[in-house]
Amino acid sequence: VSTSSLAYLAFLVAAVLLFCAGGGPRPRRILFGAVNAAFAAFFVGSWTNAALLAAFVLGGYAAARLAQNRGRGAVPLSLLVSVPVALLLYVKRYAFLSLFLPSAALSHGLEIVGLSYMTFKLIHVVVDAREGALSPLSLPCYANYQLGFFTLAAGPIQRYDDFARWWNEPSPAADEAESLAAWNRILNGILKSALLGTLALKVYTSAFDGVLAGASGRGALGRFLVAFYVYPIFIYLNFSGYCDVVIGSARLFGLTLPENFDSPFLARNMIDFWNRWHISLTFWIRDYVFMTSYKWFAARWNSLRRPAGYVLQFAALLIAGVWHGSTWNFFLFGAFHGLGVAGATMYGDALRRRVGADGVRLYLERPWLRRGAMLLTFHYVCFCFLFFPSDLHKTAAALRAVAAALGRR
Amino acid sequence: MDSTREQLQGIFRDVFEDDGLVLRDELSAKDVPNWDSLAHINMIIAVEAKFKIKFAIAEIAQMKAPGQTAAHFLVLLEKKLAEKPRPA
Repeated sequence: VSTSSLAYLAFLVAAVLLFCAGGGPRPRRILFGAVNAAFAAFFVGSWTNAALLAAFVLGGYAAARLAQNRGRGAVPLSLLVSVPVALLLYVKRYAFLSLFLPSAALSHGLEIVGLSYMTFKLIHVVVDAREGALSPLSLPCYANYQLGFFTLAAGPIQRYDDFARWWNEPSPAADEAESLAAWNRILNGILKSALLGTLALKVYTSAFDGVLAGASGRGALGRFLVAFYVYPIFIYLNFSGYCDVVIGSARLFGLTLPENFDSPFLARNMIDFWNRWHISLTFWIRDYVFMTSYKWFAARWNSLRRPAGYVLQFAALLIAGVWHGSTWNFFLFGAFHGLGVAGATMYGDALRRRVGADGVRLYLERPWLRRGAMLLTFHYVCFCFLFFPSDLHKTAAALRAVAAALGRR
Repeated sequence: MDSTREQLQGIFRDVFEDDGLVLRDELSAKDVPNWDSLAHINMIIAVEAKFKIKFAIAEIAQMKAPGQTAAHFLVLLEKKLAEKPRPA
C-alpha cells in the first residue's frame, strides 16, 4: 500500500475515527495494536514470512530483556547485536554473501517489510537496555514500537523512549487546529510524492533512457545533465513526501515522529547534508556506529584518535550506504558519501589549524563562500546519487556515453 | 577547587579550540562553529576522563539534540556526579 493511495487514506481515516472513539488508554492501545497487526498482515505475504516476523519481534524483545541483565552470566552485547544483523544480511540476500554461501542457500523466499528499520530499532533498544538507559520495557509496547504502521515500511527511526511516552498515555491530536495541521502535512506529502515526485521520475527516466539509447553529442550531455540534477530531486520529493504523510498520520494519533528532512540541498558541506537528509538515520548511525566505535578506539589508542575519526566517519557512512540496499551500488553510494564527510572534516581541521577558531568563524560568514559551498555540495550529492539506482551496468553505460560525447566535441 | 561549570568550560575551550568560549546556560551546539559529531564525542571523552563518570549512548545523543543547552548538560553532569559511588 502506497502512503499516497486512497486505500491508505481510507485505512488511516477509519483507524483515526476508531482511535478517537476509544475510551481511555487501554482500549486505545488495544485498537492501535489491532491496526498495526492488520497493516502488517497485509504486507506479510506468506505464513512463513509471518512466522519470521513474529520471531523477529519476539526475539528482539527477548534480546532486550537479556541485555538488561548486566550482572553475572550476562549475554555479550556483541552476540545480541550480531544475530539480528546476520539475519538482516541473510533475509535481504546481500550481494557479498554469494562470495561465501552457495546460491541455493540464498534462493529463499523470505521477506520482511521494513526489516532494515526494525533491525536498527532493535539494536538501539538492546544497546540502551544494556546501558540501563531504556524506558521500562513491555512486550506490547515493544511490539507496537516495531510494527507501528506509520513507520513500518520506511521510518523515520523513532527512539523507543519517545514511543513509550506516547504508549503510556495514548490520546489523539489535541484539537481541531492540530488535526488540520496534520491533514495539511499529509496532503502536502501526497502532493510531493505522488504528483511532483512522479513528474520528476518521468523527466529523469526519459532523460536517462535517452542517454542509454545512444543520443549523440550535445544531446547526450544535455540529457545526462537533466538526469544528473533531477534524480536527487525525485528521491527527495518521494521520500520527504512519504515522511510528511507518515509524520502527519502519526500526529492524528497524538504521536510525534522525528523529522527526517531539513532543506538538504542547502547544505554547505557533506556533514551538513547528512544533518539535513534522512536525519533519523544519520543520528542513529552517529550514535550507535560512529560515536560508539570512536569512543572505543580513543580509549585504547588515544594518540591515533584524529586519523581514526576520519576512518570511522568514512566507515559509518559506508554502513549507511550499504544499509539502503543489498546490491553493490549502495556500497559505492556509501563510500562516496563517506569520502565526502571525512573530507569535509579533514578540511575543517586543516582550516582551524591554519586560521584558528575565530578565523574559521569569519571564513564561514562570507556570503559568497556559503553560496559556493552549497553549490559544490549539491553537485557532489548529485554525483553520489548516480550510484543509487541498483543497476550499475546502466550507470556505467550512461557515463561511457557521456565520456564518448565529450570526446567527440 | 574550580566549580563544575568552570571545569566544564575549560574542557569546552580545549576541545572546541576557542579560548574565548564562555559556558553560558543557553549555549548550544549551534553557537559553536566546530561542534560537530567528532568534536562532541571528543568533548564527552574529556568530560568522562575529568570527572571519572560514564555517559550512556542515549545521554550522549540527547546532549546534541536540537534545543539542548549547556544548562541541560550541567544538570545531567551534576546528576551523574551525585550518583557516583564515593571512595570508601
